[in-house]
Amino acid sequence: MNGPDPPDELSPAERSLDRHLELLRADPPTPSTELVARVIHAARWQRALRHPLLAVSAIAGVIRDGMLLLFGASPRR
Amino acid sequence: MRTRGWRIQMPLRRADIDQSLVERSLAGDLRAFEALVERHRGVVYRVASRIVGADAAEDVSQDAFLRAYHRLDRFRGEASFRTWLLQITTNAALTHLSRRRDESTDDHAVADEAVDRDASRQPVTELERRERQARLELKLRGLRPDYRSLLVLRDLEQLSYEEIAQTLDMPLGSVKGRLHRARGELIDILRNNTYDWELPA
Repeated sequence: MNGPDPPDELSPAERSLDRHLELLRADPPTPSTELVARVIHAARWQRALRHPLLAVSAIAGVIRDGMLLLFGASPRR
Repeated sequence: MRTRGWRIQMPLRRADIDQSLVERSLAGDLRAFEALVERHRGVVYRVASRIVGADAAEDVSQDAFLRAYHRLDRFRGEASFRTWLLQITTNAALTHLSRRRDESTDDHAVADEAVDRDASRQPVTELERRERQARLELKLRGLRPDYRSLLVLRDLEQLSYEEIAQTLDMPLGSVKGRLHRARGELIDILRNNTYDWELPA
């Protein structure tokens, strides 16, 4: 239980727990080799879609404002 | 003198590399973001795996990286990039847990599978070690999610208290107290079963 801080003051039970946890520290899980490729693939298509979606959203906002102006309705509170 | 300089310069260099990669990513360089993912995939996956379990860790890791990608412009450099990324990862993991209904059933299945996998080809000591490890992971997942996150960040990933406070967005003064309670709860869970609490000789 040693981080960059000074070592924690541990009770006997916490010291035993630390020895149990060493079992997990000694054998950390590792990601698959495909993780990086999956992230970058998703980032690429999300980036490609982002600008069109923002444009559609902006157009929808303009249309809504125009309709409100035309029909004289005030925005809902 | 050389040793002191080395210790001081190493974290700065790491932070500088991350900062440079963030800036290049923001400018549209996807290769720079790929380098960031490559640099931090280990710690993100470990934290995700310890909080949500191995079955969902890849999805949570991917979700965390994509959330980070879309929020890169909000990274101010007040904390290290790793701490900022771990905050996103922990939030993604906790969101995943809150959505998952039948967690305990899944976890038992995963633990059993981990122990059974290739059992016939492993020596007895290795089998016992794997069984203890699987049981301990299961008990860890028996903790409430906020305690689990604390324990993972401090006792498994060995983050500093300040990093944990930033990652979990809690006052620095609360971290030690909550960590003490988290450890106490896990000790109680392990003590419920003599096999789980006894350390192998």
